[in-house]
Amino acid sequence: MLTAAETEALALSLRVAVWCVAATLLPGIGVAWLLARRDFYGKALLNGALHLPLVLPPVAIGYLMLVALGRNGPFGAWLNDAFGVSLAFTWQGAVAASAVMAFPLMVRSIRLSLEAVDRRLEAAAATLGSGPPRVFLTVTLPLIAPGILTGAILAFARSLGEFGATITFVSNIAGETRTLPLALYTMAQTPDGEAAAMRLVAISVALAMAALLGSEVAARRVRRRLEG
Amino acid sequence: MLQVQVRRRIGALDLDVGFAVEAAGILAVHGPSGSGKTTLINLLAGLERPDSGRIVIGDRVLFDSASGIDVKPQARGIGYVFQDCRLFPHMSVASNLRYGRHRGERGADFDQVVALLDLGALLARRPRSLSGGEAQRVAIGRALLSGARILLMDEPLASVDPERKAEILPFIRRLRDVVTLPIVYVSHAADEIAQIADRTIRMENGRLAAPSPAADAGSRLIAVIRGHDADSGLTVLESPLGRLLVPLRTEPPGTMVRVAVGAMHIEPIAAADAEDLTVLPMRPKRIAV
Repeated sequence: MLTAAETEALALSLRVAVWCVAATLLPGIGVAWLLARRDFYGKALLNGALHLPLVLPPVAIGYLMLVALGRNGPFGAWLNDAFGVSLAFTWQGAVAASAVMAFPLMVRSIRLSLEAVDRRLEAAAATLGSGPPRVFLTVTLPLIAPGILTGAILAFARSLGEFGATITFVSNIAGETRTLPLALYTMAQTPDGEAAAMRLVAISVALAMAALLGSEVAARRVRRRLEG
Repeated sequence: MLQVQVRRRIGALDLDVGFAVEAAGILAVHGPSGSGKTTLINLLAGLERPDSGRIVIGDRVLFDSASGIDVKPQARGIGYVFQDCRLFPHMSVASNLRYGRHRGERGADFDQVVALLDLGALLARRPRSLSGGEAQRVAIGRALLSGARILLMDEPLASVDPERKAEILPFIRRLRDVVTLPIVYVSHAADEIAQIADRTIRMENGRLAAPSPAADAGSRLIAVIRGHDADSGLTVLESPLGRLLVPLRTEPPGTMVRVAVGAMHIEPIAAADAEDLTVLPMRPKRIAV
């Protein structure tokens, strides 16, 4: 069926995508809540900075990350000294690259659903004795579940397709950072690699279809729970 | 005892209201839309904050701008039945009813409330599938079960058709009589108020208005000005009821005037002389030409 290299790339892509969603989920909810519900100094700036990955070339993001988070970069050196963590040229770095690229998508969809929440329901919950944390957990969070799901799907998809920031930040190392798109790129650059490249395209299509179908099922289930 | 003295400006509304009433029973707050009725009960519930003032329910100070007290809505122990119900769409009717139970205060008994409001057949349903009247009954039950010590109802029947109205009003009366919960009931519908209110206050443009003559058992009389007594500050009117004394008027003698006399303003003073019964208006509210 699949060759060892293909399995490796597929497994790595999935692992990076799952971790990308896991890493962006809670911060995404937090930042979306800040942007939707709070007014503070520098809000426009935060919002702008957040959307940079959507408009900048991914290679530019990857390069900035390399400068900042590389082993000699200011944050990279600190991470290494303090936690012994190194992002440059590791699969964790690939997660970081796709997380940065996916974060604006995650925040956007959660923020939109937060802004659509009927605040009057939250007021009703307060008159029924719930303080802000319980109101958020029992009313707000269930009502924005579709937005969170959409954000997670977008982040997952963005991670599967991420190429530019990843190859610039963590390079193209087989078994460590060579996800499906990078493997495909490698094959396309290799003489007589057309057949192997085609197989990777087929794997990518199958993976994308499976992910889309799965998200459709999940979305339907969430909607049914919400609307009864 | 419900003591309220609040001031709040918001948009075009300049609310400045003060009253103290016995809390038991149903206090109806009525008045035209935009008069500040909903703002008033939002202030009571803590959903809006007065610019200044004081709110006391029973022996509990809920708001006092002078001493900086502002009890959060979740700690006020006030049940609020909203005009638009505000049931949680992601919960069943039963979960909606139980939502406020966590307070741990002695709330009404679940089965009793379900029976009182006839909710048994609805428990497994979702709010989306309820009719307006059913949703309103669930909203009332939810507020009751939250252990509230006073119930605020904001036009609970405004979005309900007349038949449903007739179906819900008895439930509200039963709340007063069976659960003995004080209720502040906001409405602009005179027929609802006439059916359930124990006490009434009327709001106009953010202020308390004098009790409306229509709600009074008094009547309007056509009278003729007989003369003025500047020394005592009174004008003498001749009316079908007899001689009336009212605060000094400027119209010349012989002018016809209309007098609105409330029952509370009339007191017999010469009952001994049955053939020539005279009544004195104590405080005529409104005298109009």
